[in-house]
Amino acid sequence: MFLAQPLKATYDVTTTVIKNFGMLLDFIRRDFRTRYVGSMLGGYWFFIHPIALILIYSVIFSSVMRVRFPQDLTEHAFGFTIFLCAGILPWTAFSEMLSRTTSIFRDQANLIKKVYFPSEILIFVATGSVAITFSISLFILFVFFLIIGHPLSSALFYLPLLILLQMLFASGLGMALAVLNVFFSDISQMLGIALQVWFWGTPIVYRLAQLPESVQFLVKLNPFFYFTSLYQDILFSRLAPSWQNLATCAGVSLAFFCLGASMLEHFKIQLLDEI
Amino acid sequence: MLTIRNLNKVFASYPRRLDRIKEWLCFGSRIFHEEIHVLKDINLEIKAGEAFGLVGMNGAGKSTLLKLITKTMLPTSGSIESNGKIAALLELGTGFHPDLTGRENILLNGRLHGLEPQEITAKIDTIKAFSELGDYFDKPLKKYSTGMYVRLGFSLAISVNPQVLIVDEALSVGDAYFQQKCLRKIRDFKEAGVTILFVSHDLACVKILCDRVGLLNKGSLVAVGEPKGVLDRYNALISGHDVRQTTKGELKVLVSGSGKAEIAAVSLLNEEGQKVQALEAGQFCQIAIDVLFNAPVSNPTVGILIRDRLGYDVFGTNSSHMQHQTGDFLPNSIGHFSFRFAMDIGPGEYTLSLAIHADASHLAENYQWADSILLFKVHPNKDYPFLGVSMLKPTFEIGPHEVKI
Repeated sequence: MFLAQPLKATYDVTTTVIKNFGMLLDFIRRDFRTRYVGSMLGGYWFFIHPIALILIYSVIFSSVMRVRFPQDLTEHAFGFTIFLCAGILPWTAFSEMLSRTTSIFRDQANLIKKVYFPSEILIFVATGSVAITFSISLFILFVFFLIIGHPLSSALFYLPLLILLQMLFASGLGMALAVLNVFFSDISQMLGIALQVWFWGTPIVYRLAQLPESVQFLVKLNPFFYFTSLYQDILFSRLAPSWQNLATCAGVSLAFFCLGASMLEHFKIQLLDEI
Repeated sequence: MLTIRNLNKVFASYPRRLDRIKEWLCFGSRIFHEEIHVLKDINLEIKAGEAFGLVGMNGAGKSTLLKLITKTMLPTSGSIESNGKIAALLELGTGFHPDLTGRENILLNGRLHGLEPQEITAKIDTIKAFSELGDYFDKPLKKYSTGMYVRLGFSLAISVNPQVLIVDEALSVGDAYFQQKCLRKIRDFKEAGVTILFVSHDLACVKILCDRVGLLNKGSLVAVGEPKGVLDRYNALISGHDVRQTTKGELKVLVSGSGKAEIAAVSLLNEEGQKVQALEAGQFCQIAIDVLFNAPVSNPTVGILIRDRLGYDVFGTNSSHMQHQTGDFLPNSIGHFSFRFAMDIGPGEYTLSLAIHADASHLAENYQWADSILLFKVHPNKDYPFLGVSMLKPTFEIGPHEVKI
């Protein structure tokens, strides 16, 4: 059966990650430990970055520009800021996951060439470490919500699942891109442009309903649209996610994970030769 | 124990990057790459507790073989099996971060080098002690000297209790004291039954350390055996041209070279000019060499090399090191050369190798290289007894007496 190979690859990659989970955590720890080493504020930077981002959006969109969107966005003085943060924080994490994974084999070539270790875990080091900073920024966002009086809801409990699915999606797509990037370094350059297009093709700074109906179907082909709308449901509208969207996200993530794992396993030998 | 069976490694070389995409689009129905056979059918078994040396010219496939053994590359076909962890002292300190301290680097990289977390905490003091870094162990690596860096890397690498240990020139970085310490440790490992694979261009070191040596040439393992024989063959190989083995008496003589000049006769003479096969330590002697020139040769260099019974180099020199111009020679002429010196070396059996080549080293055009062409003995000097391999002739002085009050 033609699915046998991708399924085996997916199984292999998954078991490798589980077996080497300790090493994966070591890598993530090292990533965090070395990122701000030598700076005065050190680990505080993990909090300063998201705080700065949220403050900038809230100042610009609630005082300077006073964006007026359909009525539900303007109910609250910070309405647009909340909407923007609900979409842009996950997107920033997603694009960082992708750009980090895509170049990871080239970035870590020195390590891969010199010591033996299951190099596929590097993909999950990249997505995992971004997922942690993303979680920190979400935490800052909750604090911001409490300050401006945007109540938190029980829907937030869906966030861990959603982040996990997003990691799976980014890891899968990232694996495929990382493999290609070893052979053609143009891929990481192209990704920069593709991410710009993708950002504007996702309803993050606008809502789907604002688009002409003839274009809406295009947005619905964009897998990240479903993630964005779930984040917006949970963080902005305070609604439990729709099972349909959640299932779509899960399906997309698994499919991409299968694809990425298959490519990684298929090109394993050539990959190590080329690095 | 390390067992390598029918190992092959083929690299695909694409002339242009686009060719790889073309091949993908054809789903393998057309081929756009060249295959480069880097390793051809390697079979090798290295036993536990054996030290095996691997030599070969650059590009012979040594590094590829090492990468396959350490699994940083995967073979095209064949298998490599070992009975335990493989530690490589190739890239000491891989993964170390300059801003972290020695301790932090060990804690964060230990697992990468094959240590379990509980082992790391248990062994960190041993690692610190072996590295002899003292307070520096808790300072950032960027404050380290190269030697200190190597010491930290080495201490981590050997702490994993490997079953196979791969060693190369990485060790040459540290100071002599630490090098000796490392060599002692490697010897301890060997006695404890660890398989040692030693890769180096330092042939003297290979000779000292290894039980057997393998010669890799153009991807094939062309010789495996006693260090001396294989290393002579390697020497002949790097001097290029055909290698033939002739038997001269009981000695196996390995001769190589272009043949523009060949050694017609060689003899060891005593101070009276008589041919001898043994001398007394310190006795004056002469090595007389007759060379037949088959082609016009200008200023050939004539060299001698004395090796001991184990094949270690004892002394070697040549006419260009000694600042001598030898002149021009016509085809079919014979040149007579001689080296005169006092045989100031310790008692034992020695071999003499000769070389005639174009420049100061036999790696330039090599006319003829004859390994172990002559065997001679050095007897103890009855009037001047001493220990060891060299006869240094020190002076001895006695200072004035002092009376302790």
